[in-house]
This record gives sequence, structure tokens and C-alpha cells, in this order.
Amino acid sequence: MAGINPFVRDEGGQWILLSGLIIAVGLVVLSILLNQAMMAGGRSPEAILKFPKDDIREFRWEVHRWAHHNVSRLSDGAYISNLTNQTMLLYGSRGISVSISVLDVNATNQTANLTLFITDGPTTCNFRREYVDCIHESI
Amino acid sequence: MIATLLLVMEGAVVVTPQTGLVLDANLKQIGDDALTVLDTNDPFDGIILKHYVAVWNNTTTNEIIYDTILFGNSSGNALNRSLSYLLPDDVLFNLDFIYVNDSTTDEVTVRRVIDNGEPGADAVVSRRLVTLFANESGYPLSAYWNSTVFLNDPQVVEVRLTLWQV
Repeated sequence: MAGINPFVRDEGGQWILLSGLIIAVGLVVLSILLNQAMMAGGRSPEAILKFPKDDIREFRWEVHRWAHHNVSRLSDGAYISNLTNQTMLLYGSRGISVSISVLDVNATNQTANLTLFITDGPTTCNFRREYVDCIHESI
Repeated sequence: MIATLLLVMEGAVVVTPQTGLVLDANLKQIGDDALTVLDTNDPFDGIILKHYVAVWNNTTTNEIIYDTILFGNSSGNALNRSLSYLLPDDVLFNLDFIYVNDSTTDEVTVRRVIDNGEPGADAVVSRRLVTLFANESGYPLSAYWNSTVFLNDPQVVEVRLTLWQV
């Protein structure tokens, strides 16, 4: 053993280097997992609260109820204008814009085709040909 | 080494941290569900929420007297009683009726129908639309609504439920 440089033979330092590498990789993996968890925790409820799912469904549902009440009245311009005005004011007070237009009404078959539009800025929903069947549709 | 890393990452159970937003989303869902139950067309009771809105007479006591099979006999404010059944005990709520008094003047009226105090900073809001028609069978209108429906036929009413946790 004599004559060999003791610094070359001392291999304990390699373990320190390897441990450091393992810890570094572990920390990176852990930070990625934590970051993803934080993102999931923040994004999911944000999507629920910000996306106006209930507003869209409620608006569409209520228009169907109007049609079911009396589909023939949908051809009355003043009637639709009154409903649109009230709905626009109610939704407008919370920053949502809505509009309704009647494409055609068939009083014999109790059906109607409507165009419904709702937007809160980031989300826009346009039902270009909303079909209402007052006989076969249950509400 | 990569295979081991993948195994660890796939197998690790990561618990998503609960933020205030998660609680708000849950609370909003609870409120939406309660209003959905009331707004569903029940074969025996009809649309209970619509009955409650229709009988409200804009009095200072906010009486809503309407008996249903689902929620039983009522006295005082039946809507308050029904919502108390549907919402958890640790949730307080206020309820407003919002409507256009006269569509020609574009005035929106807000009436507090259930008042349980000042909402906390983390309060959330759930909403439902109810449309009252003149002479609709099964849904007799109060004297107050009869007067407004005379101006707006039909009368669209927004039921706004504000919830907060205590």
C-alpha cells in the first residue's frame, strides 16, 4: 500500500456525491408533485366558480318553460320583447348578457325553434337552433 | 432508475390541498342543489319554489304560507323552513327576490325575503329564475304579484340565495 497517493484511494467522497445527486433528484420530483397538487387544488374550484354552468343551464331551462307554458305566445313580438327585457336586466345586473330570438313556432305540433345567446365575457354560449317540443319533452 | 422514479410517481398518493376556493365551490354546489330540489316539478307538489314565490305578498313580515307534501304544513316563512331542511346546520343563508318592477322603466327591485344576518366575506351566491304567468292554473298569485303581472305578463323573478359557513 505504500507509495499510493492516499487521496486517490479514499473513495468515501463518491458516496457523498451520489447521495447529493439522489437528494437533488428527489427534491425535483417532490417539487413537481407538490406543484401539480397545488395547481389541481386551485384550478378545479376556480373552474367551478368561474364557469357559468348554472347560469347557462338555468337560462336555457327557463326559456323551455316559457315555451311549454304557451308556445303560441312565442310568436307575439311584444311578449318575447318583454321576457327578453326582464331577463337581460336580471342577468345584466351580474355582468351577464343574454338574448333570445324566435326563429319559428309551430302551434299545431307545439314546437318552436329559438336562438339563445349567453355570455359573461370569458365564456360565450350560443344555441343557434334550440328546438323545443312541448309534447314529447318533459320539464 | 427512470422506471423506479416512474413507479414512485405513479404510486404516490398526493393529497390535493384544500383551499378556500374548494370550500366556496362546495358551498355553491350545496346551494345550487337545494334550489334545484325546490325548482323540480314534483308530481304531487308541482314546482315548490314557484308556489313559494307566487304566494309571497311583499309584506314586512315576509310570510310565505304554502303547505306541501314534501315539507309539510307551513306557518311564517315556508321557504325559510324548507331551505333549513335542505341546507347543513353550519350554513347560514339570506334570500332575495329580484325582479323588474315595470319593464318599461327598467327598474330592478331587490326584496330581502329571508334575513339571517350579514353574510361573511366568503359568502357564495346561488340563483334560480322563476316565471309567474297571469292566470296560470295551479299557481295562484298573491295580490302583490297580480298587480305587477298586470304590468309585466309574465313576471320573471330571480331567487338569489346567499350562503356562508359559520
